[in-house]
Amino acid sequence: MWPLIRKDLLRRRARPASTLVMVAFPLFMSLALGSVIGGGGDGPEFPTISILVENRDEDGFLSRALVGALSSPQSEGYLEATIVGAEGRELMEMGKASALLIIPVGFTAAILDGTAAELRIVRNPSEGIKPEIVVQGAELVAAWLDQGSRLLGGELGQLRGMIEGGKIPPAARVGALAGAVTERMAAADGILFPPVVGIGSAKEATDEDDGRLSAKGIFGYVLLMTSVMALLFVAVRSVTDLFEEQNSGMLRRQFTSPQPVWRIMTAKFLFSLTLGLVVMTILAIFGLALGWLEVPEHPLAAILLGVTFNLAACSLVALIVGLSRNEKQAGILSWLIVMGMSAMGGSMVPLQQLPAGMRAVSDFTLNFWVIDGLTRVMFESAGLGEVGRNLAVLTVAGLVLAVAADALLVRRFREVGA
Amino acid sequence: MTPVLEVRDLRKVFGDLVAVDGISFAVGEGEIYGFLGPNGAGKTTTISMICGLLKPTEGEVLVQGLSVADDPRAVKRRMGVVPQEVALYEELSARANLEFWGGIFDLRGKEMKDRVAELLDQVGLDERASEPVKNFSGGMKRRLNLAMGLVHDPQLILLDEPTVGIDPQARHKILEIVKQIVAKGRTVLYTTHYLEEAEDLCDRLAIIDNGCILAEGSVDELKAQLGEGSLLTVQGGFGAADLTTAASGVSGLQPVEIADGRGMLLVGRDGPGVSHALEGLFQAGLTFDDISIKEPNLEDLFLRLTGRELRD
Ligand SMILES: Nc1ncnc2c1ncn2[C@@H]1O[C@H](COP(=O)(O)OP(=O)(O)OP(=O)(O)O)[C@@H](O)[C@H]1O
Ligand SMILES: [Mg+2]
Repeated sequence: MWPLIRKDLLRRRARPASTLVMVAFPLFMSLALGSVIGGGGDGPEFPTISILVENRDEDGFLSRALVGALSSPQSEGYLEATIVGAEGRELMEMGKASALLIIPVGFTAAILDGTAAELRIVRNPSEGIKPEIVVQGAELVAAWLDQGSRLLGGELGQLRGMIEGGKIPPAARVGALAGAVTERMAAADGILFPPVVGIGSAKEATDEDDGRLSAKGIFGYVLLMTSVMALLFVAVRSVTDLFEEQNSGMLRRQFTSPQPVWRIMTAKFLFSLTLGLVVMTILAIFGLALGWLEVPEHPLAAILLGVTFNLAACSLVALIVGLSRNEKQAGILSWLIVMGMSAMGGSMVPLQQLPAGMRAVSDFTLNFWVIDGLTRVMFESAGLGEVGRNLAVLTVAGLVLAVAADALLVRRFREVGA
Repeated sequence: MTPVLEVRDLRKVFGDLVAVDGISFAVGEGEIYGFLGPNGAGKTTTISMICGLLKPTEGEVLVQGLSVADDPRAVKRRMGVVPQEVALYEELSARANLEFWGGIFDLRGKEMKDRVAELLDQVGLDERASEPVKNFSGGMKRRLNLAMGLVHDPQLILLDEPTVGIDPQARHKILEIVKQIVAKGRTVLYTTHYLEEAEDLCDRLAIIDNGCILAEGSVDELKAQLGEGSLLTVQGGFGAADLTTAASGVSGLQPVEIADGRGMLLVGRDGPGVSHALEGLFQAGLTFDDISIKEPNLEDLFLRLTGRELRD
């Protein structure tokens, strides 16, 4: 089995771009979000920032989504957004807010067309750091929207056609669009949609004593949240490598060797697990070295959570690939599931701040079980006993899914020989 | 002695297409057996059934007496397969590719190192062994593709058009390697649609078309099927019937393939000879734009068996 795993590790080493992106993504996110929220001072508290939002692009769905995200309950506590009309500037001058955010007319259309879209921010000159934070936050949003519109290009236009058409688009068109989008994502080799919803919303509420997390804790927490998502994508990349091997003829070639199909499939699974653990270790080392994380009181609990999560992640992705009819379907399905689990399981928005409706389904995501467990181990000195349930869920899910997935993969790829 | 490879009544049907239609042959130790046939003849399908990738609709394959269907792993150990499409890990070096392949055949340590070094040398890639395969030329990839199938030193080697699409120099190199393998007592099944290769390389060969073996034997035996003598090819403004009638009046002249405006005739070695034959045809009132005389080759046999050229 080892030669099979080894060759995949060597192949990854020879082409490290996608893996590096997955390492960089959580680090970047932590840095970006951490400095917006927790940076600036070393105080343990978030400043509460009031902003005024004037939406001049009232019909655009993107601007409405943006306003919705800003005024959603998750941001309550440190960000108070008030929707205003033309009186915004006047209100700010009266000292009612740190900044005024103006979404210009045609903002949504501009983004969809890929032309320049500008968010305008008016700072309150009488305040120091707070307006700066707003500006940084807005820049981040802008960068994300920009990247998104560039990544998606033409498909966004089609999407708008569907949304603004008012009619329910035919399933085939949605499918084709999803396919095109996934292809672009794949072509970008791992560039992800950043968790726009989560912007500036990382607030730690588990720390009951003071209800706030230190700036340092924020970096660590965001790192943890986003690493989980990155690891899911690492698993997707590794398992779907089977399609790459199918296309290059190497899978077929391997079937002419005495290695049984199940062993070739199991080797791919073990490779995915190994790579996940490597990426996880690198992220942990970065987190520790940057001082975002501290070695917890019960390191074994943290390690076990990481290992069982990787196991479950690889099994789940293998199951999806085993169930898919073709490469495209596998790509779309796994992307949707990873994004969905990340949104609802605490990788985009901290668990404590998830809207109740989403929190209700968190239990069905792998993200929830590992993030919940690791948060307690890393920040609350929880030990093995306290995260026993998390470990059990991840282990059982991992093993059950692994057995099912292996059987499905064998069935799915056996015919490649023919 | 049991043949190294024995194929019995092999048949493969895809839907309503019969890709392989009852093929039987046997190949002994140290022999190169050629499979000569045009595109779509069923060469790759046959190879796929021999190496266990495809389940035959009917028939069986034995390798050193072991059945592929009953004992696939033991058979696969004895067999090296070189697929028609180059299949390599482009991002890995030539050496890493070979080591991977050796590894899944349980080669380890020094044995592996020596074997890989020997092969790299044999296929002339030792100097570029550490470079990623994606930098290689087509001919180099073909050579590595071949070497992959040889890592575990199999008794039986299946080569599916190993020289397709490469320059004459690289082709020559590959043919040399194949000859070396066979000199070591290994057995080769070699498919190709290049006639010269088949003639140059194969001890025996089968001409196949539409999934059937049309003729089998050594190159000389196959040529003998055309008859002893020289092949006279004529072209001109005549009709097929005129030529047939004219030829039947000339002693020692046998029609091989005749169409309107074109005819191929065998001038018997023991008969009165070519000039006599031509004279006979002229006397029958035929005129020709072009006349050629040559020794018969496999191309002519293929033409006679199928009424088509080997290459389209
Ligand atoms: N998996 C398949 N499903 C359906 N038809 C197939 C399949 N594989 C091969 N065929 C058909 O079987 C016939 C024989 O194909 P095969 O690949 O064996 O030919 P070949 O002699 O190797 O040709 P070439 O010189 O082009 O490689 C062709 O008509 C081909 O289209
Ligand atoms: Mg073929």
